[in-house]
Amino acid sequence: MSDEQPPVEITVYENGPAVVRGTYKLQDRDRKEIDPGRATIALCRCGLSAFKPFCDGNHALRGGAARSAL
Amino acid sequence: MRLPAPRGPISTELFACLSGEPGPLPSQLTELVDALPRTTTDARSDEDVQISLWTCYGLAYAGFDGVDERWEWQPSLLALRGGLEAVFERDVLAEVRLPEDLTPEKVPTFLMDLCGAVPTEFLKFVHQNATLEQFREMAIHRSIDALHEGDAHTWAIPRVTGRAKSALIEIQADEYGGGMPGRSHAELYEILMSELDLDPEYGAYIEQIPAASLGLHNIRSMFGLHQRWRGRLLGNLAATEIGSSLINRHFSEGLARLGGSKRARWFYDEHILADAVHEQLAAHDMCGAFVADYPTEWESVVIGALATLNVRGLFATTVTGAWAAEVTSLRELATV
Repeated sequence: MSDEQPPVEITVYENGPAVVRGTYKLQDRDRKEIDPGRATIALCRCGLSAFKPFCDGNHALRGGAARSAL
Repeated sequence: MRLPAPRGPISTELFACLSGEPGPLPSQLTELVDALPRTTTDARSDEDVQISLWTCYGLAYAGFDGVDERWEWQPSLLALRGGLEAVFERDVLAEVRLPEDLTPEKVPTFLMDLCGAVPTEFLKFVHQNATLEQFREMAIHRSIDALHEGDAHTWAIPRVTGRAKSALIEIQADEYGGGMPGRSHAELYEILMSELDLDPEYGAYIEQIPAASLGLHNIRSMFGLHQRWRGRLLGNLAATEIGSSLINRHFSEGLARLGGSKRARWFYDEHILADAVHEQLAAHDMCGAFVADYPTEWESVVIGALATLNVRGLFATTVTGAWAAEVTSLRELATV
């Protein structure tokens, strides 16, 4: 049996965020760790989140503009 | 928890019986319930129906002081509960219409569009205009459901399989704080209530909570306690998660406007980020996979979501109606 961790799984949702699960490390540009707060996280893909890098569902509110970018 | 005060003839008779030995219910009580399809015009706002239903369901959660726990599975009680559920279901579904061009493949997108829509007048009011007293009122209304957050949906776990089950587990684990003590969403709601100088004990405000608010919790319990309504229960969960980030952001910002602390807003802030994950899981991985695996049940999922929005809409109009009239949205306690 292998001791290797399963690969991190990133799922891209149409008109929505990228959902990340598995064993990962989230950090900013200076390699400072960002507390994900939960095991499975959603990362913003549209740039409209007020809580970046996390998704806050704002893509739905802005409708067309955010969607066309995704 | 003590039994609540009765609100009409059915709850008066029922609560009197619950204080005694489990057994058959008197005919005058069963006749009252049998007559409900004629005697209640809208069970969603019928105080007697909703408090009776809430109490019947309470037997399946933590029970009541001085009530024999065997009442939970007493056939006469279950028959009575069925009568209450029948009129509640009738009136919740009266305004629910399935879209004609919907197919199982379109269910996830339909749910996202349906539930992730624009902020309601209620939400805008709480965000921009509500007083602290009105905010506390809202916290009291929602306590009857939020202090049991996640619990009714846990009943869906043994009833679904495969990908839908995995997604459901992922959502539910978050609802319970990933198993970390003090981090479940219900416990975060206790913190919110304490910060608002409210009693966080479940049922502490039951006498003040009107039928339209009890319905928010009763509909989950109703779907959750029946295996045949597992699709509706998933639809209820989806309607709860989708759009929730937006809703909770309005609540958090509304409370911040009123001077609420970061700790007070923790419950709402947690939901902004958690539900941005959950809404995708609920729509696509849970409901989408479920309707793909059980193609005959897609209508049930959609009905569950539409019914949930219907009950939520009634709650919102009830509260905003009272506030517009500059009266409390809670039931006024009788002067003792």
